[in-house]
Amino acid sequence: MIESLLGFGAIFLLALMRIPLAFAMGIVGFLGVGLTRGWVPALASTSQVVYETGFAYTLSVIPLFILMGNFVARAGLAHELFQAAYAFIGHLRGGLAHATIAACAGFGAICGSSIATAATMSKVAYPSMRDLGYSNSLSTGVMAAGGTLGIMIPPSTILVIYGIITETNIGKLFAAGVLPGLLTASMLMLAVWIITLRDPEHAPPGKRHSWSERWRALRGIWGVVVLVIVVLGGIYGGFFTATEGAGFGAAGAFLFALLRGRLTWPILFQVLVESARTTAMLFTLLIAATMFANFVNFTTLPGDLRDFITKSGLTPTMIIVAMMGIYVLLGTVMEELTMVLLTIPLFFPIVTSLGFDPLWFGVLIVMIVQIGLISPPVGMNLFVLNALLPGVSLADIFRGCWPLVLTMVLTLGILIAFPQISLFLPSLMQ
Amino acid sequence: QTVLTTSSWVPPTHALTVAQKEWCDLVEKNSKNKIKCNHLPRAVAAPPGTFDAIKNGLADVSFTVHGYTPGRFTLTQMAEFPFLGDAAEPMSVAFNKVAMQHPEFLKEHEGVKVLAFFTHGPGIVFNTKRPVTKLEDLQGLKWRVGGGMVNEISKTLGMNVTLKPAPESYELLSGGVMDGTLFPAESIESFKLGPLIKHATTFPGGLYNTSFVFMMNPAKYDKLSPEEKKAVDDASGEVAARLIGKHWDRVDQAAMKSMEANKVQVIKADQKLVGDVKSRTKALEERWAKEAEGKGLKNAEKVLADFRAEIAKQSK
Amino acid sequence: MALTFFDVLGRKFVSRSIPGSLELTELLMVVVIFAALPLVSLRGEHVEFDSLDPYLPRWVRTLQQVLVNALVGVGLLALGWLMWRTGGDFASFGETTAQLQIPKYPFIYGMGVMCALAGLVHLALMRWRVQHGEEPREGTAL
Ligand code: NA
Ligand code: NA
Repeated sequence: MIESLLGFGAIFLLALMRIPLAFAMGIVGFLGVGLTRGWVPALASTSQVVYETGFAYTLSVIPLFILMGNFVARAGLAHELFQAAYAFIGHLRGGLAHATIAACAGFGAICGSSIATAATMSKVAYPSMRDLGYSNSLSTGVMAAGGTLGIMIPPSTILVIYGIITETNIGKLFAAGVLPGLLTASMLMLAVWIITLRDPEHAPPGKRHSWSERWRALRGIWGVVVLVIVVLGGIYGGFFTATEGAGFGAAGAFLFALLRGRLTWPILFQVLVESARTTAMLFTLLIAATMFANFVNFTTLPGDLRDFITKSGLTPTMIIVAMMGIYVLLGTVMEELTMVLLTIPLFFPIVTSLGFDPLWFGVLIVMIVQIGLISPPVGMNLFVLNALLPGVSLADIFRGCWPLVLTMVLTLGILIAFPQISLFLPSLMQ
Repeated sequence: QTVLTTSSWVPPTHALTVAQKEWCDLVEKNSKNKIKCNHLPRAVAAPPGTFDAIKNGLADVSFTVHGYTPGRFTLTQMAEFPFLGDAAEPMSVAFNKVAMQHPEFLKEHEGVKVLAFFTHGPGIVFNTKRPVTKLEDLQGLKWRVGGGMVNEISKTLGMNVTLKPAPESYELLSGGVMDGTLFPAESIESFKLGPLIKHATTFPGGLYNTSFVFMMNPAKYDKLSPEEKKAVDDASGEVAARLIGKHWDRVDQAAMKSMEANKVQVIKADQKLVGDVKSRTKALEERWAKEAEGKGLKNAEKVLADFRAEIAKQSK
Repeated sequence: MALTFFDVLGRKFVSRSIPGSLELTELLMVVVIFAALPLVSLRGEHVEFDSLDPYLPRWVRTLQQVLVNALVGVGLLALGWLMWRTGGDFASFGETTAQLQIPKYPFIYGMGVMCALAGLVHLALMRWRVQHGEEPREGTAL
């Protein structure tokens, strides 16, 4: 117990000194195994983890989904999505904000990254909202929060990472994320409705579109619909595994970008290199997290923690609620991927030993990450928007996202209270 | 007190994990509680890395499948040929006995202390589509197979196969990506494939088998006192092979029962099919004998014949 | 280097039952990941905890950069050495992939070389950061 707690402490300390997280975890994992098992095993274990992670077929789902998201972003599909949503609901009060959330949900169904979704929307939706006189706080808040739908609505990088480190079926995790994603989108729209009801100045109504314009806009999104049906339908319908689905999706997104004339050789090269870099970065993290988990495996921590919890007299639900509370607080100051990679090896065995469904816990983790991404002071989506929209102050962005953070915390509560929302679709997959 | 750290890459309820625990209990008893086991909650390495993990002392005791590291083990493929035997216990005992008689087998395992060689039960053909009664049926479907000789056997039979790890079977079969899989009966139970499988075709002595090794880190073994060494030795070799074989057979039998309950159609391969398989896999045995002799095993064909005779003797 | 991604993609798309496509995917993934590693280091894209930055004086941050890059650089060089040694082990066992029987050791040597290269990048950055300060970063993974 003591050894692994010292290990956790050491990682935090190293990370605080700004040593890249992967190296902090790797170094502590290496030293930990070395001290508990000896140095020859520690060296052998390190090379083994590096080698095994590199050669793991199931992990190829990561680069493929990243590639798919990057191609989709280049294909300009987000623009059509926003136009379609705008055509239908743009004339309502706060209509553009609703349209942004809807477009984010649609874009989230093909892109696995929250930051990419928010960044893409900032180019597509922000100009329209600014021109109509939307307040900066509302428009950036909506883009930041809507962007997080990218990781709840499948495909999702974070669900893939969770699936890999907990050995949970990725196809089923994806199915589990669908309804919670739609629920989050609805809750965000509800929040926008309340905000604009109380303060109409935030969001003047836009232009009403004729039905013919609406149908035309709808035709513009067939590309998205086809990709979603092929990839997710293929995975749920059992036509192929998550990895193969990702391969098809990447190829499909590539074709779209190509057919739309958005691909030049330099852009193609840029997309490929960018995807490779993101993949390499994630893999160093996975390698390091495995090294650290190997060390924890040799200590008595997992057993001790379980004993501690069974003796504490808390009910399983109270433990989950407490865990989520810790996560929400940590999420305000921590980078979310760090938080998940560090805590899953610790929390996951507890959750399963309490008899909870790993799919459900995966959905809760994603919700936690979503909240963390937009909760000040450290929220990656907020920083990205701040970088991409130089005209908007960080204070405005912070102000705009608070109500939406609270909305998402509420949604998290609903997901905890009703596990069926997460588990219904996967149960159909049997 | 001495602590042996054990690692298992199959779930805690799996026959292999249970057998390994039982082996530990036996060692503990033999040593009058001087030796204890620490069963790690998670495997120290993925299945293919387990051999090296034991060699390097990451864990002290574990087991692995030779076929998971292609190119490293040749002699042990002897235990993977078709029509060897109908139960894991006699096959494991015979495999361990014959392999231990020839030092070349241990030479392939340099760096670890071999505790026992063993196999699983007879390999069966399972599928979700239609009864397999002739060679053409085998050739018409898409199959998942593991590594090792089973891969060569299925290729020789002209089957359309993809190599995928055993734990992915459920996803592949339930999704229809693959039509069937080659497994011992036990795996149908362990990987919860019962509800998916519609048809099974059994072969007398099994269509294939898989060779395993149960092993220990040699430095750890060398550090044991003479009494402790004896405690480990007394639980190893034939004793361990028999113990593990018994657990395979127990789950094999339970699996056959639950297949009955799930109304799986079980077909016994007829003479024609057995003959077709035999005539095609004969060449594999000859090729193995040549490769084995290249690795220093003298009279490889005779060793294989001895192995078959020993299985027959043990099966009585 | 990056075009190998295409290979994965084409193979997946054109036919799913090419024998050994799984192994090729794995090998290509190894190539892509480790080839990109020095680039990740070069652009400072590793996930870091930078929340303290606004509160630290400039000289502390510069010192921090130098120490961190030195540590990470040496660590990666050591890892490169370790993987090179592992590659040697694989070469002597003759371990191959299961279906296509491609020897694995060249890929493991490659891992070692790229890790070492990434290490050198960090050591070079150690000098460079002192002179030029640091670049802003953005994460793309989540
Ligand atoms: Na998504
Ligand atoms: Na945060």
